[in-house]
Amino acid sequence: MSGGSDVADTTSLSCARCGKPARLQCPKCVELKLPREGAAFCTQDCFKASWSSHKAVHLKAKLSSLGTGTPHEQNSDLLNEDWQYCLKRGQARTQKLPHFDWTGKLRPYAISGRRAVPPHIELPDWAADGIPKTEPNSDLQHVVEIKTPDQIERMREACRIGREVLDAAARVIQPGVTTDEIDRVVHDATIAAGGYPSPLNYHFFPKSCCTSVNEVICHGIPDARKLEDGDIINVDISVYYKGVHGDLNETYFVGNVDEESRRLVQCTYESLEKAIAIVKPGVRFREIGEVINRHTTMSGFSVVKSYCGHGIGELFHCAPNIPHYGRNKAVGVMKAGQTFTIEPMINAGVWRDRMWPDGWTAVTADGKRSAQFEHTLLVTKTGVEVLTGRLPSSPNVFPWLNA
Amino acid sequence: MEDDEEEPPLAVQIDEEIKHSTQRPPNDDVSVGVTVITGYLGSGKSTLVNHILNSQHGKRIAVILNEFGEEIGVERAMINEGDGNGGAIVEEWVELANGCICCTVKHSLVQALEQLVQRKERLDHILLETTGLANPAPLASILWLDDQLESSVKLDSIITVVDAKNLRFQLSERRNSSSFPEAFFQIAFADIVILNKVDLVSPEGSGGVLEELEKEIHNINSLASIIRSVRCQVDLPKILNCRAYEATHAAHLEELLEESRSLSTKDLHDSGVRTLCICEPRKVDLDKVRLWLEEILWDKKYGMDVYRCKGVLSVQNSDQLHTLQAVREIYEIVPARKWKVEENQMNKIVFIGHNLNEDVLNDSFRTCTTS
Repeated sequence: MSGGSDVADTTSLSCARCGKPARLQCPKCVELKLPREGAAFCTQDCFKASWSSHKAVHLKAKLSSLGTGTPHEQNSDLLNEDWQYCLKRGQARTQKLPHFDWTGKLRPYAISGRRAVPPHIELPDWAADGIPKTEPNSDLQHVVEIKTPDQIERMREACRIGREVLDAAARVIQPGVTTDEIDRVVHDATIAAGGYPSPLNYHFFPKSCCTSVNEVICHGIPDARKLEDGDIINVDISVYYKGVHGDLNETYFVGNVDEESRRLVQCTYESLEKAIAIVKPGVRFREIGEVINRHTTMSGFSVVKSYCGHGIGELFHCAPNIPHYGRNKAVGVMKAGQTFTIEPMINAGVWRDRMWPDGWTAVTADGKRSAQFEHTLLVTKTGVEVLTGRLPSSPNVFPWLNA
Repeated sequence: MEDDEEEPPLAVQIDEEIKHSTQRPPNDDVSVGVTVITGYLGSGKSTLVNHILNSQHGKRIAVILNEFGEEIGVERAMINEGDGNGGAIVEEWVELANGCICCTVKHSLVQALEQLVQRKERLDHILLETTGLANPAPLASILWLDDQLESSVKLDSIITVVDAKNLRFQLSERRNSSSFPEAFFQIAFADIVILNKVDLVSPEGSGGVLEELEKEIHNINSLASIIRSVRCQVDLPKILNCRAYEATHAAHLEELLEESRSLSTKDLHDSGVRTLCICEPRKVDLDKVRLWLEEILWDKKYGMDVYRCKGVLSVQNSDQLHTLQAVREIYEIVPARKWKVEENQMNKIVFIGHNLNEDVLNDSFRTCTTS
């Protein structure tokens, strides 16, 4: 899901071994035209000390062009073992923290083993082998479906469960809790409601929800890191229930956050709210991006451009594609019976994103924070129904809602 | 192989200049043009690609051979290293980011091309050779990115290579069957048509046959420029940097505004693919034009199938000439520049498609005028 691999002006390479600024690079990597990230060193000494582990990168590059992987990564048993770092979109694990020129302070931590799903739960077609079969080739990638009353009813239920699961996650958020523990709560709550957590093994994603902290834009993988006072964290839930998906996310404060973070999160909440307010039959999908962009730039923030809202129903992701930035060429107008998500990601700094070595986690190119909110929506004859809307029982975690 | 070596080699200095250029954020000035090259098997497509790769032009050009697609997840790339490496040609694999393509804005092919541009020290152009692809439109849709994305790659043009010797046969094939042969789509979507193997058609230079062929091509798509060639020996500057999808590019506007040129196809069977041009001197209401166009492109109103659309608009309450461009359902209307004082301000729109009806288009467009 790499949305863009651009490097911000201010980022420079750090030594792959000690993290100091790097001025030297591995000549073999240059020859093989491998990325400079992970192949840069501050001195010949650091390079020499890293050599025995670094040279595996050359072997891997050669082997991956032949379609195989290095032994210490492609062991499927490893995927079930606890507490390894995630690589290759979830298809591999490694014992050591991968090399990368991290854009901010956050680092990946080890992730736990795969959580089990009891046999009575209805599974989407990627649950077993990680590969969606129906979704990629479906006509619904090109045509926006009008849902039948039965599909709509099932989506109301799936979205309701999603809302309850997200609320359960929100209730456990506090300093000291790990994102892995949040994932445990999400997984158990989803199963208890009779649903399947859609992200689990979707294109090999290793966990049951996405947890995106601080500079992570989206698709953060739950791991062993403890939340810290002052963090912001987005939890993204998707539930598969009675054959349909519901998708929602919210960004929460951990303890006391600074003013800038509070402004960022509130602006993101409001931009989603304003976008939802224009949803009704006849409105162009393109217009959503204009509304979000206007509100965001007025507040001095920027809109992430690499990820978009999407149609949802019996497929997790389908047509339409809904960009969140302005001046886009999105095709089509809204019609009653369509269901889709709007999920703006707003950054405190630049809009550009980069991808961590795990192949999922998208981070801001400048290391500044990012916030997101998402709802699944149904277009009605006169307007919109927010299928994943807050309930009276939802935790009171957004100060501006009390104002 | 190095993995047997115990001793590491000497690490090399990261060249500051190179480091700067690879970390340069992409922007319009330096985005690399992508040309889609299409054409029947045997038309000379590969000859064209080889000609571009091998001629001594000093440019760094990468050719992607679109052989495998998303299912395999890799494409083969041949790169002419240009002056830097004595014009040597290097072969590489380009990996397509597989996975959740449905919530990302950029298709995996675009991401792969961007990564290729980022890895190379300097790339002047990218050619995408389609293999076995009937209709270049899906590729055009994928590659025609929003300006807002500030991508390091941009769609430059679609070039179709046709075989002068076999073209007539390939076109007549469709008239005898109910489905369109690829030749129609490939010509309809082309910005440039290379009419190859002309030596096989008129060895004595009796141009009559070639003129006929060019007329047939223009009957389908009167906006395409046609270049005759032998063994695809074409001048590179003629086919690179066309900027055919750049809304404000001057050359295309001039073409459209040229009054003397009649762009509508004359003789035809109505069910064929052809070009049609409508004109309207009165200013138009932009909101009405959008609705009008969307009804045609998105709702398929009037049963017309529009493949490509290009035009200039004279808009109410604006001194700006607006350009219109569409590929299938994707369209864009953008203010391009101020009308020149001496210019005759005029709406002129060219449609390339199937089942087009000139009267219906003219009448319905007239409802967008403001007077």
